[in-house]
Formats: sequence, structure tokens, C-alpha cells
Amino acid sequence: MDEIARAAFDSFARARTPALVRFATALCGDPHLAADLVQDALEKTGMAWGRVRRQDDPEGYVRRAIVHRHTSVWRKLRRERLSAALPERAAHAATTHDAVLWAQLAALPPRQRAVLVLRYYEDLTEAQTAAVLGVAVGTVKSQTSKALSTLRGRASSATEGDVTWTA
Amino acid sequence: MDGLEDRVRRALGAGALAADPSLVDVDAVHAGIATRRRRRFAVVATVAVVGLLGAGGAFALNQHDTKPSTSAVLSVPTPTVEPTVEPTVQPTPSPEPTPTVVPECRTGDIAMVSATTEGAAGHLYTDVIVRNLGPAPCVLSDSPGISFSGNGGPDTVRHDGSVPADGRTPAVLARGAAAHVTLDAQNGCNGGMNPTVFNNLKLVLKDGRTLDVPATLESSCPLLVTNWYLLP
Repeated sequence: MDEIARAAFDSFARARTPALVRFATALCGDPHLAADLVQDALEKTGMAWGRVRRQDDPEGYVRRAIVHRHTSVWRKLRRERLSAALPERAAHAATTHDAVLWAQLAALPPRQRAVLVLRYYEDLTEAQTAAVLGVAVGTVKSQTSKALSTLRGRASSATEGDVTWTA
Repeated sequence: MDGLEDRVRRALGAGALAADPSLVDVDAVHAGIATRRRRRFAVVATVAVVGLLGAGGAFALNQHDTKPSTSAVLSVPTPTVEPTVEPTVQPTPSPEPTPTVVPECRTGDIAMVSATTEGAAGHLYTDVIVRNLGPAPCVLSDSPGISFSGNGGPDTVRHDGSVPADGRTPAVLARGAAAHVTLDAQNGCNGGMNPTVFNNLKLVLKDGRTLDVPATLESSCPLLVTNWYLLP
């Protein structure tokens, strides 16, 4: 990376890191894991910066790298997290507007959660969400529907004191 | 609607407030990039050295039989962009100067090293790396043809002629050197509907023969193919 490219990447990374960390936190529910995801994604983006900066949406590249990394981490750690014990709750849990729903979101498969985060946190359209995830619009629609259906099903059976933390 | 979407929106927004951007240090990102580059360079250098050692013996036996192919190019433009070189690792020097007449690489001289697909921002990038295992230097000019089976029409492949800033094209490959081409599949056209499926994907070299690419791609836009370029 030459000095000009490095400076451009540095400016991009410093400007967008806060938003990317918030996005990653919404995605994974854990601020520390979110920071790791963003760090990893920015390194990958920096490695490919010559190519990425020719595209119109470098932030989309990072977001997609975050989603992919989160999915692979989730698969790797899934067996470890399948435990009866409650994981450590993040600091936000006590102040979240809807802690039960937050916990239910955390229990969704990562692809479904990614779709919800992109659609309802980032306010992307279905087409934009499909572009970030590299899937068809129809897939976004079906994943959104499945996720919301799962949340409705769990909402009817769960109470605030009876949160199921499975992954 | 039962308001669930709004509740999801609020829950995600509130949860994201727990984010701590100070946990990400951009200087550490730069350090991580440098480490990754060193690792990548070490791997490529190792592959090149092994290739040179393997091809060296064959070259010693066959060098007097080397004939230029009929598709040889007569001149090679001077590279316009210098490759990025890691400060702590020196590239393996070419064992001989590049001749002024370099034949086009033939399929029998070229071996597939890897084909890696990564996705980002609605794109699927398949990076194909090949290595010259032939007895002499050869050139991969322009971009490879694409062969596939699928539902594509005449406009499903576009050769955009691009190379990365740190690449050199045409790729003049010394014995054992590696070159690289990127296929860019994108889902941003037609709303991502009715994508072309690229099955049995192959690169078509100048001699008309093919190299299998172990990847299946879907793209609603034309599949972009870069030029060949030398791995820095």
C-alpha cells in the first residue's frame, strides 16, 4: 500500500470505526467480540484496499466481512455455547429497552440476525441487504420472515424471567 | 403488523449503545495488515522457491528443446507500476534476465496454485493464482477467456482490463513465478434476481486450452475478469 492509499484507508478506518463497532455489537451482542470482528474486518479491508477503494462502497465491504467473520466464529464456538449455564450478560442488558427481545435476537442463527440488523438497525432496503450479504433479494425476504416468525413464537412462550440463551 | 419490527429496531438500537469504539485501535489495524502481508509474502516466496527448485532440474535437462509458441508476443511493455515490496523480506531474484521475446504461457506450463473466493459488499471475488512450472519464462497477456456451463447469455462475461495498483501486466512469469487473476461476481444488477450461475468454470488460455476453477459463482451482473498480473 503506497502512502496515499494508506492515508486514505487510515482516514476511512478512523471515521467509520465507531459506526462499524456499533453495527458489530448489534450483530453479535458482545462489545468485545464486536471489536475483534471490526479489527479483523478492517485488516482484511486494508489488505484489499487497492481493490476495495475502486468500488463505491468500502463500508459495505467491511460490513460484509464482519458478517462473514461473525458467522464463522459463531459456527466455531457453537458447541461451546450450547450450555445450560447463562453466558455473561453484556453491560447493556440491564438498560436495554426490551431485554427479553434482545436475548431472543441473540439466540437467532447469525444469518437471520444479520438480516434483521441490516434491515432494522442499519435501515437498509431488501436490495441493499442482499448486496451486503451477497445473496438474492428473495433470500433476504425469507430470512427476515423466518427470523420474525421465530421471535413471535418465542415471545408467546418466554417471559422476562425465563430467557433462553441458546445459540 | 404487530409492531414487532419496531420493537426489533428499538432493541437493536439500544443494544448497540453498549458498543465501545475505543476497543478498536486503528494503529493496531495497520500493524495487523503489515503482519498479514508478511505472512502472505512468506507463503508466496516459499511456493516460488519450491517451484524454482522443482523446475530447475527439468530446465537443465530440457533447456535446449525450448521453442517459442506460435502465439509469442514480440515485445513486452515496461511495467508502469512498481510492485509493493515488504521492507523486511527480499523477493527471490529471478535466476535469469527476461528475454526480449517471451512466448505466451501454454496450459502445460501453468499449474493452478489456488482459487479462493471471498465475499464483500455484494461481490464474490475469486482470486486464481497460477504458477509457471514450464522450463522457461512465459507471458500471460490480457485476461483469460471464461468457459462455463449455465444459463448465461452473451453479455455475462466482461473483461475489464483492470489490475491492482501493486500488480504488473502483462504478467511475465519467470520459471516458478506466480500470477493472479480476479473474477468479480456481483449481485447488484436486476435487483439480484435471476443471476447467472457459472458452473464448470474454466479459464481459457491463449492456446485454447483450459484450467479448471474449483468454484461455482452466481452473478446478476456480467462477471468481471481482470487482466493477469504478477503477484508482487
